[in-house]
Amino acid sequence: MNFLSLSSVFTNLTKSFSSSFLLAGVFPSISFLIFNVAMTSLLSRSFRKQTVFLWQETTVAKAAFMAAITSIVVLTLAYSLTALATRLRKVLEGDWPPLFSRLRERCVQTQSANRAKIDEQIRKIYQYRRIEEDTDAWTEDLIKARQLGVRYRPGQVRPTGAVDPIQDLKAARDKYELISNTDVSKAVRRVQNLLLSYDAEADAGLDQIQVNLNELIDYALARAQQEHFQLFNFLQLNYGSGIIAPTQMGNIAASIQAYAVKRYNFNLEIFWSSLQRCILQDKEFSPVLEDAKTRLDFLIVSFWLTIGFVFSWGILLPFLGHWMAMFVILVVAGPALAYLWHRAAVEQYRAFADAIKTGIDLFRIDLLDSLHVRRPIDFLDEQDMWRYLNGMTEYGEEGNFRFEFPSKP
Amino acid sequence: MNRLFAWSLLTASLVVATVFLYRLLSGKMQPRNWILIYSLFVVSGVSIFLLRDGTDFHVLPKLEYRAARRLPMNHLMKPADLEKSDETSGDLQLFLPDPELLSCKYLIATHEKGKPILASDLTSSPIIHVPSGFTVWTLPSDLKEVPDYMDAGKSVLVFGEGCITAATIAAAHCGKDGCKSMEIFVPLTEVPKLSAAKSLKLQAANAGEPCPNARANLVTTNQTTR
Repeated sequence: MNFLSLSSVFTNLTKSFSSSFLLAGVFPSISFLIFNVAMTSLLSRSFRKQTVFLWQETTVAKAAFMAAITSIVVLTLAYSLTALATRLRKVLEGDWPPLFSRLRERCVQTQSANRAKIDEQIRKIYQYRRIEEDTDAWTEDLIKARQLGVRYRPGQVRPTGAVDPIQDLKAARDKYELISNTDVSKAVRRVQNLLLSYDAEADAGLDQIQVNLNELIDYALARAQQEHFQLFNFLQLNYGSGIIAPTQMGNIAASIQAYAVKRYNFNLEIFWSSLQRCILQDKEFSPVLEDAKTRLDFLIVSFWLTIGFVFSWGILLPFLGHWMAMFVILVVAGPALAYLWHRAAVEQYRAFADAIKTGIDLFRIDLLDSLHVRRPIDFLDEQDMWRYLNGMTEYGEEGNFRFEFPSKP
Repeated sequence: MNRLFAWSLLTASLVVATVFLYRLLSGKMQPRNWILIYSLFVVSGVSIFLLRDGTDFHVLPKLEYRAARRLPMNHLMKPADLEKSDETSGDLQLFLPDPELLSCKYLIATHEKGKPILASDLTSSPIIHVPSGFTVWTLPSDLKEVPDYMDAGKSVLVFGEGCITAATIAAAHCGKDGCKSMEIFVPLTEVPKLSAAKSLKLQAANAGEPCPNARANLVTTNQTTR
């Protein structure tokens, strides 16, 4: 067994199997086997001797035999993993056996509390966005105050060294913080009083203050809007509507269904297989979705393999291991690595969810075509159609659709 | 005491971890407390190590050489005297120092077979404690390396014209190109005979012809090392 025979194994594998199977099944399996062989070698002298012997004492027959055995082991593991990938993903989405029902409830509470925090932040941001309602009135008040000041206090300028009335707003902007309606209102009143008391045409500093205040109001407005959109997008991307899953990944999954229902009354769970068929026919979009799915599967499989590795060796090492450091490294570094896989998987799930949402936007009409159902006239008509179709397919409601077949050439 | 501590640690951590796990699964504990349960299971693992190996447990792999056989004080080290510890396996051997770097150095104390030999156990020149009534006599040498029967502490017979006296090897002075001289403990009373001899040769004490009269003056290894 040498690098040459190993490389021939890999070459054959890459030629014979799809890239998604290789990435999400074969590569994690190979890594898993290598790490297990390394661990066993460190613990067992006889296993190490055998491994070294097989590696060094190469004959063509032996290399071929070892390549075959390695391929069989890798492929069996890879097939098992890809077959289990959906189930493994569902576990991370919070689909747990009844034994964990209480834990599930507790996790749902935690996720619900997290969602409530975002809802609360969004509610707060509405306070900031009230600036929009008052902006025009503030601008008008400032203009009027300036006109009165110019008229009744001609030539009067502020004493030198006077305090900047919009100092706190400037400080908030420099830190890129949100500025509340109340703070802006207070600053407007302060500047208004100054404009009434002095001649802004004669006082260049006061004139600049008014210009700066207008800019700060614009900043406060834009910042509140931006924060609102950001929080709203975060909520839309990370949580469904109504149902809360016990895990972050489960909530991202729920956000896909929520998106489809909210926009089109489209029940993704029922029509996913048919929609997938429509997506796969598109040569530009289907690789995007497939890539996202492959990356997600790779990360999920890697996460579970890391957990499996840590769990099994974590039990074996205290009984078989030579050194405590090895055990400590395993139980510390293993979960840390698993955590990183999980974080990456959650991020990738968002990208995957985004790809599916785009798929719904782009291919739902194609799905209607493939079902030989007429195309909707407008947006509301489409929502009604999906609701109707959903009722018929999911709940067996009575209904009727006129089929539309493409005319024969 | 250590075993008792290890047993207590194992039992306590396992019991508490199991109780916490039950509480977690029954929803009576915050999910984030899984890390506490995990830590308790890790403590259980550590206590199994303590229980299994007692005070002799290894936190890190023992990357060290051990004495391949009994090596006396002032023994001149050579690569064959060193063996790798059982735990020093596979690729970890790369982290061991080159055995050549440890050769041509002297042991500061007797090492029984299997005892680890650390850098601090070696010195670049022999430590010679002359027993009372004896002196150190230096003999030139042309040996490539020191045979076992000429090792420090071994009994030898010193020959001139005939057998002059029994003596004990104190140390051999060797470099990379061979041994230059041997130091031996000889009785002070024999010094005139040694001075008078034109050339001197050493022979192992139990081989060849002994000097019956000098037998009583033999110095044992124990006397040189204590």
